[in-house]
Amino acid sequence: MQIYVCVKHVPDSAANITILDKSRIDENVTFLLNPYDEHAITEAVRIRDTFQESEVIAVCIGKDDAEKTIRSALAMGADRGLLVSSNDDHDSIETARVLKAAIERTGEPALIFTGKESIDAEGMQTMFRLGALFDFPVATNVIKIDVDETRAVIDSELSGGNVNTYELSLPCVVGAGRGLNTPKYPTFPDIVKSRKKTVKKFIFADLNIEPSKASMSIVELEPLKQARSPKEITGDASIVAQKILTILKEEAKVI
Amino acid sequence: MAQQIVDRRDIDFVLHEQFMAGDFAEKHEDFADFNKKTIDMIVSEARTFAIKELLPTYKEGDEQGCTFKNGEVITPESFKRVYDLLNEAEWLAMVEDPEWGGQGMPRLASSAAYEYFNAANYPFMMYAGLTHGAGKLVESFGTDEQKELFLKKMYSGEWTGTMMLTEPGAGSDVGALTTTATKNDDGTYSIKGDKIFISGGDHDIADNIIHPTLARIEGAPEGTKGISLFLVPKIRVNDDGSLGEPNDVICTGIEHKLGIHGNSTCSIALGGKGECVGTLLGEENKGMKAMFLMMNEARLLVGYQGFACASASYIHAVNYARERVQGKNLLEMMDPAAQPVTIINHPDVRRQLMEMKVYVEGARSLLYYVNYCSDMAKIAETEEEREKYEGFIEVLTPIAKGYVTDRAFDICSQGVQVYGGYGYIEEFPVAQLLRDCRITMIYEGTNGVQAMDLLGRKLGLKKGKPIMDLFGEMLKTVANAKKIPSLEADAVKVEELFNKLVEVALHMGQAAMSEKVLSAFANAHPLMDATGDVMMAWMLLWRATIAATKLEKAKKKDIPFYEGLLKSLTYFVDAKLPITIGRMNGLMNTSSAAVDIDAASFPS
Ligand SMILES: Cc1cc2nc3c(=O)[nH]c(=O)nc-3n(C[C@H](O)[C@H](O)[C@H](O)COP(=O)(O)OP(=O)(O)OC[C@H]3O[C@@H](n4cnc5c(N)ncnc54)[C@H](O)[C@@H]3O)c2cc1C
Repeated sequence: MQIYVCVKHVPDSAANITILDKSRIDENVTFLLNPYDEHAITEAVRIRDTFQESEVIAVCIGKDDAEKTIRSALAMGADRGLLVSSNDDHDSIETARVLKAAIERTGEPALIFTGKESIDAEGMQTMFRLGALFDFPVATNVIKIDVDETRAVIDSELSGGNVNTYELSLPCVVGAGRGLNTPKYPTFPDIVKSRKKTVKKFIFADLNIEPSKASMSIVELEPLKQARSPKEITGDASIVAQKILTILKEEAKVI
Repeated sequence: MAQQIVDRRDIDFVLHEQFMAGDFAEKHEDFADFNKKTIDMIVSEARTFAIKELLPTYKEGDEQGCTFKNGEVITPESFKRVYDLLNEAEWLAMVEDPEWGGQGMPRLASSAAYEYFNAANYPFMMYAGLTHGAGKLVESFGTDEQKELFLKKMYSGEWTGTMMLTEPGAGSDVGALTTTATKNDDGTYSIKGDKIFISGGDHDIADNIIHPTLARIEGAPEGTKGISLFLVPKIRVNDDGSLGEPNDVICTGIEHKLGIHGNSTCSIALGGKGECVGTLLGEENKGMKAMFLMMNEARLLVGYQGFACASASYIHAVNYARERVQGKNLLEMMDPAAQPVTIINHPDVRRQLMEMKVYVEGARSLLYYVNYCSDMAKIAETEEEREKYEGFIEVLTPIAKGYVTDRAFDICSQGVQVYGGYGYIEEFPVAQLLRDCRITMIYEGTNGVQAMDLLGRKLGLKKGKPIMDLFGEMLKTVANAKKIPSLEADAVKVEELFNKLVEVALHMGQAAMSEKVLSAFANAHPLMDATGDVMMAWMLLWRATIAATKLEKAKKKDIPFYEGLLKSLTYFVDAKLPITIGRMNGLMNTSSAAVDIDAASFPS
């Protein structure tokens, strides 16, 4: 059984992001494996270990530097990697086409994991587009998955905390959510071993991706400005307390 | 959450541009796994672990501290979980022999991981660091049986370790200790005595604690010659490795301290009920010798601890100075319409950051160099070469511990200063870094003891050969620097400084063996300061030489970095080197005032 995990090389969530030319970020920050993809890798490795002759393959599209993210996935237990090397940004339409091409040239997937989203673009589309291209069923924000030879039974968390259970025929595409597992840090020996695992490189142009009629591109990037405006709360203590309670409940929605 | 706690670009520079860490993979089969890319991955993973797991527990560890209740030590809440994570990922014994559960990594490469871990939370890392050190004692001096029983469990972190030396009457003078060991019929020893200030002496993060303990066998000679080393577990260990009965090792209290609150500092009563049993580690009466063998490593580790505080304080200060807006640009002082600027624009703040920069960079290179020397000694092909690098380690250890931690504390203080009033407020990390850093100047041999070691033992070691060999290495750097026209003038000044140190060292060495011995030792610490300064000058010149060579073809994003290294050298040569010359002039005076003054002349 081949389990593919699509991983993305993203800026560290703790990095201070600087926007350049209103359209791109200063890439002189640490890049890491997208946190949701850590859950995907962890689950893929767990499933692999329950099936004989199965392997986990990490796939990534990115600049050559993105090999580091694949190596992180390998250190976390993936068996080998595929890097589609490209210096350009790709929208989710193209990304899904590229991933499909790289996967098809490598084998036959039984399961394809993605993260439920990437923390940089937050498009949340890749798994659906991939599913559509392959004609596979898709579930996202998956917090539980049981797999047998022919199907996957998954729990998918909806907004508001409701959980739906689905049965998906294999092959299928699964978007990993935070609740799926607790990713483990790679062990020191696994980090060392990961260097010896293979990462196959594809050149973007060689994959002959059919251009899409539709496309999406960034027009402008703006830093998020959190407007802070002080408000004076007046009245006697019980009124002040009441007002604060209302603000916490209705505006801040923290209680 | 901070993205940076130490300067990764500079770490990469020291590892791969100054000391070529990846080349060890080809130099020796034991290191074959550790090429440049693997090292980079390890450093990146260490960074991730440090920032995601260790750093968030730093402040909490400080605030909660350790508590002592009903005879038990309770560590900060989050420590147990993080300790388990550290061990699951197998970080504890990175550089040790894989046969016993180590990872066999070159020491140079491990430097970066240690820097990250300690910069993130060094009080926590002490539990792991001492366990590693105690394990190393077992590995070096243990019998096969002791190794089987203890070592893997220590290197895996399942059990922790300590260093049990200090007693109320035996601090700097370990030889004064009174803990006794009485041989039993079965070859074990009954241990009896009271130890104090034992780091990690008791805690709740692991099931057992193994204490390498110094004690005197009944009838053994007085002083250091009669000291033996024992392995004393908190809980006895059965032959099959399972835990047995408690071993009468009782924590009687913990200290309330200026810093490192997350690390327990324990008073331990051994054998109060007469039931504390230990096994001899190494030979009878050779305990101090065993300890000495470990001392360089332990002292270097303390150098890293202090340095890591400084390294983190520096990064915090730089980031703060870039953000804090206060005051107008000096040149626009008179313009009422001028906007306030970030404080990094004020010359005095820049100077403070520059002070921090040069010592952090110089100390990083120096500490990593000592580890580089360990690796070179390990892979040396001739006995002569091995001795050469071991000699360097001997000479540099008091500097790496004493001088580096002295400067580290200064740097942490500068870090507080850059923050202004906010630096003094516990909300910001620089205050804690300053407090935590302070102990590194005291334990593992006070810095006064380090200075005496430099003057009394290291300068004259093997008739001065190691120190002269080291000068040889330093002159090589000067020769390389002189080939670069833009560095030539500075290189000449640094060379003059080196030569002056030779003169001062000879003078001090002679004074120490003359009737002026007391005056000489009253000047031991200034000598360590001057020698350390010279090592900084060496490292900064070495770094600038590399930077100057690389600048021509540097990538755009590397240019400010390399230019900054050149400025570090300029700053040191212009602003610091004259002070060092002054220090050296002071040393040539070898003032006896401090020893001549009557103790009664101090206020009563
Ligand atoms: C937080 C903490 C953790 C510690 N952890 C451990 C541990 O894990 N294991 C352990 O065994 N010990 C530990 N220690 C003990 C530590 O190593 C000693 O405190 C240290 O060696 C100094 O000994 P002392 O406190 O008795 O000071 P003293 O020896 O009394 O020194 C006082 C001053 O006199 C100077 N002095 C002393 N003798 C001489 C001399 N002959 N010549 C010149 N100057 C001298 C010293 O430099 C110092 O400035 C710890 C201490 C602390 C505070």
